[in-house]
Amino acid sequence: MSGSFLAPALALVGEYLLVLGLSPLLLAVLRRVKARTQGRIGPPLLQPYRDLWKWMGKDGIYASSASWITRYAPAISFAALLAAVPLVPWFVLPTPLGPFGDLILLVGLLGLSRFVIALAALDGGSTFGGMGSSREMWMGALAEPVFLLVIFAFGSPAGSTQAGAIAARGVALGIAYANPPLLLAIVAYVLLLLVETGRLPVDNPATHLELTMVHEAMVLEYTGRDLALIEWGRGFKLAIMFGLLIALAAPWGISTSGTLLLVGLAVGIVVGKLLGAHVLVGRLEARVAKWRLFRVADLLTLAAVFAFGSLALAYVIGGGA
Amino acid sequence: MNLPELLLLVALTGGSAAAILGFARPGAARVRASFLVGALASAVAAGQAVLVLIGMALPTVALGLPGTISASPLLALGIQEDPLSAFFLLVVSVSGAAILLASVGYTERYVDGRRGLLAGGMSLFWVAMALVCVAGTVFLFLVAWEAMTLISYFLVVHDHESESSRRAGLLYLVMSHAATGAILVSFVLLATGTGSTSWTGIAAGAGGLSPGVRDAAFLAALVGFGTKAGMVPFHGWLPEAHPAAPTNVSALMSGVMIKLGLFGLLRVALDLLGGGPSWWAYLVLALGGVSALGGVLYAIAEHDLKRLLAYHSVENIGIILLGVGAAMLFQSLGDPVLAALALAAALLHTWNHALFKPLLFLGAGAAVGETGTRDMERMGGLIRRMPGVALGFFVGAMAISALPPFNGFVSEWLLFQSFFAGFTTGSVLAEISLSLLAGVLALTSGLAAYCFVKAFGITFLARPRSEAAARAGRPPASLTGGMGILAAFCLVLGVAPILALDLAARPLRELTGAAVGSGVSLGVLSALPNPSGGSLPLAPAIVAALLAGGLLVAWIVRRLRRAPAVDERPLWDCGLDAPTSRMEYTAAGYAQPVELLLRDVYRPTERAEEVPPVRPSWGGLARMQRYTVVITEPIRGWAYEGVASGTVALSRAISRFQSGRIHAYLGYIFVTLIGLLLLVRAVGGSGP
Repeated sequence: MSGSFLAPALALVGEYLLVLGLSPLLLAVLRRVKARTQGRIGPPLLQPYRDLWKWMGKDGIYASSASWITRYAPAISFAALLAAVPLVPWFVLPTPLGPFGDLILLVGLLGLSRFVIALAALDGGSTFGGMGSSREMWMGALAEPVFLLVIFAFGSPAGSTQAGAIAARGVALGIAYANPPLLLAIVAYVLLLLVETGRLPVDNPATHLELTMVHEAMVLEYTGRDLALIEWGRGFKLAIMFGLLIALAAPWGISTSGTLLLVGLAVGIVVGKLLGAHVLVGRLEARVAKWRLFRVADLLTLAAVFAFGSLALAYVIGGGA
Repeated sequence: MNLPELLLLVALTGGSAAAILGFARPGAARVRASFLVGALASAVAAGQAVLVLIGMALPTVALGLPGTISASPLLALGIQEDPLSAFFLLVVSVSGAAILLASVGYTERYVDGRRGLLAGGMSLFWVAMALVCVAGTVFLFLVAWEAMTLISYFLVVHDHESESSRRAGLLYLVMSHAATGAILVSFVLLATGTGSTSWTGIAAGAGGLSPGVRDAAFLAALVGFGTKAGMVPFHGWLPEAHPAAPTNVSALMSGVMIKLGLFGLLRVALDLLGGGPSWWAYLVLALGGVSALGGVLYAIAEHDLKRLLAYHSVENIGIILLGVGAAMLFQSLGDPVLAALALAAALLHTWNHALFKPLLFLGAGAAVGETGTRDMERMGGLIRRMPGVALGFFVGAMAISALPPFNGFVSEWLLFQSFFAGFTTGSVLAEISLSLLAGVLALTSGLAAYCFVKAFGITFLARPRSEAAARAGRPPASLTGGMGILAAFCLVLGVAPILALDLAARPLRELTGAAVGSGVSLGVLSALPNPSGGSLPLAPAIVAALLAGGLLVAWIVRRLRRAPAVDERPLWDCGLDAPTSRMEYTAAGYAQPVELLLRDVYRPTERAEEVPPVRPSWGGLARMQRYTVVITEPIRGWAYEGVASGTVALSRAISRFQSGRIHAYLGYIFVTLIGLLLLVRAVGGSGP
């Protein structure tokens, strides 16, 4: 009894350690690749950890016009993103917490995180904050139907909206899992990922020009420990979205047995895949410029078309993503 | 007489007593007593509904001998409480109790006489709604329905000094009566076709009706009950009447009364007629989708806080209709398990909306009452003036935006699951429409979140945008208390929706015939059958625990290093010099990206006009322009005004017969008589 309880508990702790510990490094890799591609040296790989540590010890300042929303929003957002971590199959299957939630819950948790930060952006009464808040919620609203269609596209062949069930089917089928509808669904998901995580060409996390900001504009007023929570949370939102991409698009390597060796191997594989994905996005980011805001709607419409196309194609040729 | 009957009797009598207390000679103490007795009666009714839902029942056989007083007085009246009735009685009564409680303080702004009318009227309104739920015959139902409509009309025009209130009231009255007409048509068709006027009798005989009669009865009921529910395109009264009424009345109407439109629809379509062909379902789905998306889009464009909430009622009715439509679709495809899943989503969302919408309306009432305006652009900063109300509104906003861990998320999740499960039905049309509607539903809930960041942020956050907002008073404690009850329900049903689903199990079983259990295991939604086996993949209690754990981790992260100093300073805003509240983002600005993207849908009327220049304080000369954007529903233009002018033209045409001369009227009577005799001759065949 204790054995059957212990292994999932350990796996859960491992997942959290992996995501919490690794996400700043992944961010650093992304920035480094981007810098190198553009001919710069880029910050050292430990820089995000140093930043977090610095912010944690820094004095806090709140606007006198701000309320408790500003004070609690970073923690709520952080908690919502943390709660989403076990929804993704990282390196063991079945997922340690079992069927406690699915990808629709993931959409809800991402929504919760976005909602409180968008409110905090309005809280102080800053003009830039309001602008960022409006834009972020606008993108979020348009991304939500695309996310649902993507979930349906990935989920319908497995008959489940749980990432664990979808990945398990992929692992079991092996290479037969890959087919044209899957490809369309992956394209849709990648477009969605760029919007959800606020990467170029949708939003530029490295910008210093307020008028072009989306996410940055919302958190301009933050500093100290609150900023640490926000930035760390943002790091593992990126990790969650990439982890999900890997689990849905290329789940091979996730361990389905309990032996320590295989699980260790699976951890290595997933870390490798995550690094690879971040390198790819870093390369992409170095090459594209930010689009104007309203073209994001085109991008998302395109993603919706791909997702719906995946569903339709699966129907026509059978099988499915 | 058994316990449920006794309790129901006590509740209905108590509600009526509260009404009499309110209407009687005014006095602050009496008004307060009226509200409290009404709230208590409502709470008793909620308890009674729970008893019925967990298995008790009203007596079904009158024990009295013929000619003597029946041993069961309620049964003699035609009252009958099946599980569907009990579920809606529960929905009506929980929110009713909280709203009546909150009204004690909210109505202090009215002088005692007016306040007494409001108190009595609201309790009586609740009694009428409770009677609508438990009516077992066509007659009693229609009487209660009409009473409900008339009382709510008088409540809408409570502030009758204002022209707009009277106009809104008139529109509401006219549309409600047109709706009652449609309902009457439906019931006449059902009653004459089956030869019975009781629900049980009609349900037993409905199988023998011809398809044409069934279709007509369904369509008439859809129009009639849809109007009451605020379904597009029959929603026109809703954004007018809700802002005009006192806000606690809006809470009762928008949160509770419009649900009875859904109750009527479920009663006719699923209970009496027992479902129908799939085109009924597609019709309901289409209307639901249009209502959901249309409602939220016009809510975004709205900067009048109460109208904004009214449009969100249209949206949520649309969401519930999507659930009802999906249930009807699965039933017509012969899959009761899926039908139960979709209907569970609809019933749960019905209750959820009856909880968070009054919560939001009461919060809006406090904001509107203390600032004296409904315009969000003139509010702001109220979180400081009324922290309790702001917290309640915050909870309501998250619940209506379908965010975990609140109740709105669970019902929308169930709806998504039922749409997803639609892929196993094997019908191409069903699959295509359900996946499209899933997209519509997701867009709706995303836009709702957008709209409620706007509503909460502009109303309650940042610096006050007007003098009135800066000087807003503190709302009374009973208002915050009533909101607290509703907010607690939103959280509890979000963390443990199994409580609500257990109560919904009996109506679900009766309406769909699926084996809906009532097992509780680890907070997983196991009561509902999962189409793909096992339990449904959502355990809200675990999600809540994870969120709590996440907050704990955040707390630890904040304390990893020695506690730094925390300071309060004026807003930085990237170094802008002394930003004022005029530089804050406005509701109009917030909504602009959506309005710009969907220009072709909104078709705004824009106007730029030169206004006389004012000499600014810094001396220069300024040319000034005022730019206005007006967004109105296109349907108001052609449909409503078309119907109105058509009616007027018809009346004019008919009025030509009314010459005012007696002999002309005698002539009409004569012609009619001849006509009727000929008709009898032709139809009746042989005379006596």
